[in-house]
Amino acid sequence: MVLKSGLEELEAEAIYMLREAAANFDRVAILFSGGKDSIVVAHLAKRAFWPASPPFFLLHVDTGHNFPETLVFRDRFAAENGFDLQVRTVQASIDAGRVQDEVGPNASRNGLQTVTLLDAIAEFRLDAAIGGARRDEEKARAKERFFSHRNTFGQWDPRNQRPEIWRLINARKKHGEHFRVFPLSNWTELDVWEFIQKYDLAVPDIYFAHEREVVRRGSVWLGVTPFVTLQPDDTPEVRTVRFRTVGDATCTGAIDSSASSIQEVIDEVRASRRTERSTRADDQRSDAAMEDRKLQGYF
Amino acid sequence: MDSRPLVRVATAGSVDDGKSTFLGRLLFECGAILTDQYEAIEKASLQTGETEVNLALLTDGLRAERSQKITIDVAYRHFATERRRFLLADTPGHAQYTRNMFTGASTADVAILLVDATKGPTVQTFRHAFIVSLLRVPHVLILINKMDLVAYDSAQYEKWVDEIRRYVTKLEFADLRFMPISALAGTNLVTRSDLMPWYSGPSVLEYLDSVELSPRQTPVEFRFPIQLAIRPSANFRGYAGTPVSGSIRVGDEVTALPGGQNSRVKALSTADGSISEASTGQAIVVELEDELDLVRGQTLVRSRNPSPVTTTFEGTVCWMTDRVHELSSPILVLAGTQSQAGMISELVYRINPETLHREYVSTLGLNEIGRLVIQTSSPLSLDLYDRNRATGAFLLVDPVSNETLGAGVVTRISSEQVTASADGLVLWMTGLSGAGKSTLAEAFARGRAGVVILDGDALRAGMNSDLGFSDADRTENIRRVAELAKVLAGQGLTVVCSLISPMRHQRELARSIVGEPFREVFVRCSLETVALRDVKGLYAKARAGEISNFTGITAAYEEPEAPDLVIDTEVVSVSDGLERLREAVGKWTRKT
Repeated sequence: MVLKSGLEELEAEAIYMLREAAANFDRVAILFSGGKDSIVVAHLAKRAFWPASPPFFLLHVDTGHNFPETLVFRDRFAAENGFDLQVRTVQASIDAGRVQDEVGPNASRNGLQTVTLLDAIAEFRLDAAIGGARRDEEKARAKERFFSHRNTFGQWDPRNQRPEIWRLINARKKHGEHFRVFPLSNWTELDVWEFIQKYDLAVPDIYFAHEREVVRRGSVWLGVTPFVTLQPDDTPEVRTVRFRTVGDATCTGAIDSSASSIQEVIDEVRASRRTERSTRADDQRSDAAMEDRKLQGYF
Repeated sequence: MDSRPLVRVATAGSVDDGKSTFLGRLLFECGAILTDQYEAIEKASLQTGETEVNLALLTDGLRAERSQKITIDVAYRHFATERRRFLLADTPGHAQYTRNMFTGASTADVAILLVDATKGPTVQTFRHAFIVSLLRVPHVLILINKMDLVAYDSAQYEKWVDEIRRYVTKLEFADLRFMPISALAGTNLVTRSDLMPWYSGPSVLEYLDSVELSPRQTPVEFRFPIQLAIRPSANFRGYAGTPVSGSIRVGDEVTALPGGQNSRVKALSTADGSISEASTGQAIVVELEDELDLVRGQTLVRSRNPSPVTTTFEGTVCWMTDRVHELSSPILVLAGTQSQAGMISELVYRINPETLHREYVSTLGLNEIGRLVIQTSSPLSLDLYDRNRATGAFLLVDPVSNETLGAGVVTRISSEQVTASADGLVLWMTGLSGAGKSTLAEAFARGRAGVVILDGDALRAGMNSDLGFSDADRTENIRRVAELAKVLAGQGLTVVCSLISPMRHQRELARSIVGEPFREVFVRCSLETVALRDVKGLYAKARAGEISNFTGITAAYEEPEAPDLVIDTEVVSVSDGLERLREAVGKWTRKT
């Protein structure tokens, strides 16, 4: 027997999971940020149900602190690929008094997304939200299931997860509960880029090297945007950088890079000795920062 | 493009066996630990007061795991060599997380178990070996670790290997290998070491890189569980799914099971277009020549090579919850994409994974493994797990709480209909007082649904309290019990009557009352032995003249001339006797 490549096997596995999500649930959204992982998920969904359209819509929880390039990309992607796109904003949650902005130099709306997300899940009465999270990203995500149960409060119980044995999925739930589905669980950052290369997918420009005014925060470069409050000792400088992840501008750091094509990005990722989450200030807050956020209902 | 295949590896063992050191070292040598991850665990190690960097923190990602320094749930990690990519499922070793080990090992191509060379195999080693054997993991590698602490002594290594081999002769492995290593010193991990010239095999990494990957599914039978129907327009009807075994070509004759609709494959496609043949693991859409309304839960098979379809099967199940589940209360059986209401009709036995002994119990507890008989309301299409790892596996789910109760492998598929529930059965246990009638009856009823015991002593305390021990009263006692048994058996129950019933004419009376469902079971034991056992002290009293009309002492016992079954409790143990009883009942309740 000719063994398939790892990526081919992972693609088939992801499609299997997306089809299980469609077969088990009525109302399903793909959480779509315009980042590379959600682009891959949306593209896999098109492939999984071909020649029919995917029975999912795209949901973006917008912190209001996103890079403008990503938002433009997001809208174009949805239109070009025939997806219904729904956007819910953290600002609306703040205006409604549901959450309060953090204050201080490292203030971020990243954590506030959880409330907006859970409100959107309730509003659309979602049975499941599909995300692009991968086990290789972070040690708490390494413990995730493909089908991850959330109670009526949207919370994750990592110590009592439903066992996923063979490929048998127990996707039963009660009213008000929902699932998070992670079809890319077994993918790596490199797999994501190789998939993008294989199908020649468009991604936001900020994934490629460009000149940008940045400021040093801890071990990462933060882009200077209206959402980042400069401190007296901050010295902004213009550098050639690219982003490895795309998220809230207040906590997504850039890296020095000259990679300007998909192939160059692949070469760079292959040679990198740091994980992509190392560019995320939100994960550097504490050793169990991700687990703590996930318990509350974060992705 | 990376063309390396993906190999799934599961490891099991505890910190004491050096599992974390082993994994940390393996990942480190393969360049799979990145700088910031190393810095993070370095920081975390110092914070918890450790003097060295604790590589276990790499895989123990949850707060509770890190504080207790144990692995609780499966963690997945990637590493790679020049030739292959590996997806590592690091599973917990402790008995209380057996279900998580079961999860991690269920999809593994290779299982790695660790043994401490200074201590040898533990009960935990045997439990892990049992589970990977039960799950038929194709390749099993047992590492005798910490060889540096036993001076790389071949005798010590051989001793442990022999001990494990003696245990595993009772288990089934397609490929089992042993290897001496020292994870701490890095011996035989990446390259072969000179320190153990007596070992001529490969290093761990050489092994992983070269182990012959049997096709993920050895069976050739085509099995395609339908995930969902795809109908974008009135003129397209396709079925989406992934063949879990075998392959299929356009034009092949196929049958949908359960259901039995036949057709031919009209087209096979992926999003990239039509293909002429599809094989195991490919996500495809199948179109058929006939307009059949097939649904999720049906499996397409080749018409010439169907899978059994049944409402009754036996499975070996790992129980995954601490909730007590009553036999014959409703459950859902999930198998492939099928979901069917059913019940556990019998708990045949529990297996002690450390001794491999069968234990007769009434329920399975969390992490326990047992043999169950499962019945479903409508047929399921299943294969024996030994033939097909994908279509021979199932989950049991609580339809109320939605909790996964257990996961199992199909070990026997009943082609005959079980009729016990329809016809009922009366097991008339006769024998001297103290021969073991009640013990057997109780053991038999435990873990089996639909069984009632009518115990002579218990009935005499109430319903038959007006009767003494004269021949006439004994006969009346037996008549009443037989009439009651007949009524109960008529409602589908298995009735175990445990009465001395000393005289042949009394048992003939019972047989004539009950009729066809009557089976005479002679629980034999010599008078000398029962008198010696004298559990209730009755034989001593009878000999002293304190009890009159006592069977065997002052009243006769007529042995049955042609009983349906004899269980000689002088010769066989309770569990062996029980085994024979269960076997006989199995025969009696199945139509031929």
